[in-house]
Amino acid sequence: MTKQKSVRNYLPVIAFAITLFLFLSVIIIGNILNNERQDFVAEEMQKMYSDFNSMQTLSLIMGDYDDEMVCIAFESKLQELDSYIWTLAEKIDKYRIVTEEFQEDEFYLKQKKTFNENEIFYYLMMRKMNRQCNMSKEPLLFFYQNSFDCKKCDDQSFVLTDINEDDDDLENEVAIFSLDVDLNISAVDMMTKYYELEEYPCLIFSDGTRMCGMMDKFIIERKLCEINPKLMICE
Amino acid sequence: MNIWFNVLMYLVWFLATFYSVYFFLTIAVYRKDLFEKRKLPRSFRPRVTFLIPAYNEAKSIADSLKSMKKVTYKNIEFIVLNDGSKDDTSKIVRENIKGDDRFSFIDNKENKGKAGVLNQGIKICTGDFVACMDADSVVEPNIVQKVIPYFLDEKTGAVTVSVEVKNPKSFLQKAMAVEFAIGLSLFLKIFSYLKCVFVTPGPFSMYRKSMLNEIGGYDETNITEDHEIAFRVNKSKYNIENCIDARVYTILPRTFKQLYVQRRRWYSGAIQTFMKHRKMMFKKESGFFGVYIPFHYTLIILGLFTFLASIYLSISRFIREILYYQYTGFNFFDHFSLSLDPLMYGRVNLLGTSLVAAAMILMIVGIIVTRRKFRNYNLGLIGFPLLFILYQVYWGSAIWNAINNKKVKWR
Repeated sequence: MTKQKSVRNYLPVIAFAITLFLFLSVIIIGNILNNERQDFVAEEMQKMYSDFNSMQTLSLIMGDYDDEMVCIAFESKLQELDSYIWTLAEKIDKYRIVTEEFQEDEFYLKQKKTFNENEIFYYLMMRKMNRQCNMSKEPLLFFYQNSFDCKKCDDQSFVLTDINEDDDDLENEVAIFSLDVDLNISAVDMMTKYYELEEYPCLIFSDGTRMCGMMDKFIIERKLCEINPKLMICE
Repeated sequence: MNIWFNVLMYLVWFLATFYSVYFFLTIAVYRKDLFEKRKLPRSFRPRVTFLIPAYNEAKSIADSLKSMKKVTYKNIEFIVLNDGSKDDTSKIVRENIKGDDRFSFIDNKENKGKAGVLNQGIKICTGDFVACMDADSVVEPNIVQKVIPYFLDEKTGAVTVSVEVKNPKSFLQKAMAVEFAIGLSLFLKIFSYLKCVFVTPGPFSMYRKSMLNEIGGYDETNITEDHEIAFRVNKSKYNIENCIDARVYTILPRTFKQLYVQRRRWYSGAIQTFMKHRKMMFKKESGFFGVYIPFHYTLIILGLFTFLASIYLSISRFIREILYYQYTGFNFFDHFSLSLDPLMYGRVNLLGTSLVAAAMILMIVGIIVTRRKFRNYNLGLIGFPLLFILYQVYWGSAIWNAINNKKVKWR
């Protein structure tokens, strides 16, 4: 009993030490998962850069080699890229939410910024190839803000995800580019000025039509089909 | 990023984990003594009185009296106290105790409340030790022999026993059987080692009569007299022990509504008691009890806030997601997929999961160390974790009543 009594006196200290150990374990496991998420994003971003480089190369060799061959290769690359680019943007946002508990995570901000810059590059490249290769890829620009300043941006993002999933199930004919206007990216700022965007969410279609405010799936699809009736989603 | 929710989650996790670890360590230290059998010396055969208050117990009191008749301790008296029952309690008691001179019956025509009739019994009883027992509970024949040796220690003011569920039938009762096996058996034992027992359960608890006289018996204004008296026993410097090996079987609510009525009273009574004895907290003379009680209630309140915050966040997210679908023609199943991304598992998820795991481990350890069989608790083991959700609702209701100064009745 005396031994038990002396052990009993130390129990709170031992319990505290074990709790602290468990707490640190959770923190460490959390950090490992954070690193895994970062690695995943970094890897996917790397893949995206590599695809962009290939596209850039293809665009440079156009004219010097068989254009038809280049166009086929380019279209296939676009198809591949389009299948994961929207998902990657979503993942960056979701992983950022899971990771950020008390403060903003610089990694995700940086990735998002780079991602947006690359998206513009991809968009411009696609427009160019659409012209040169007579491709029917339909680009759609989506400008958004953080959910605090823009109450409907998340709603619009949900709708575009749905359209993108419909499109993935078909032929990947619509390429949606989500551009965060809060990130102060000069190219995005320039585009917002060019399209005279003042309220968000805002969609810009390939014919230059601007649709600002919340748009449901059917309005967007109707517009896409109006521009390009051959799209599979119009059938 | 819900910073406040995350802060709350971390805080609750730390306190709850500390609590659980402390508990597991105490079990480990005392594991060999949990079922320690104390011998009853031949020279120690004090007189024991059973006080059985009864209010509208016509359905269950016969079984209770039958179990008392089988009690083998000799130097004993049983006093049944009718508390102004409106049913046949009085008639059934008279029929059942006829011819047994160990029993006496006080047939109060007016309702005094449970504490009131118990105090009445304490005044007239002849026992050195008083066992207060609910009229819907059933005792083991040798319960007194198991309990009374604890009073050889002059510092022991009260002894509690393991409260078991009598014939659990419904899913709810089976879940509560697990709750009682842990909460009103193992916890009481561990609390007795740590000197912080804060309830002497109504189904059966035995008290030193001299101590009851010293502390003035039960508080007749309190709706959880068995909880309140434990505070005063601790204040009086007597100890509350637990004999885990002795068992009393009690009837539990069958429906959620009945459970709600019971828990609303328990938790409202807990708040009433805490407010009455708040000055005991963090006082050196209150010992560990004065530290444990505020810790216990802090954890409950923080747990409740976390629960409410989780519910709020989950519901608002659910509604938000449902509302999203209005823009896509409510095509819920068009892109439905069950794929899970393990990387979506953040630290807060880890904390929540580990707390659920701790509750499950506690349940399993509780069943093992109290020498029970898992097969007797099949459905209860599934239902027990769900009770935690109900606790939050009942605590929320009790706190709401307390804030609004709404009085909760015994029944």
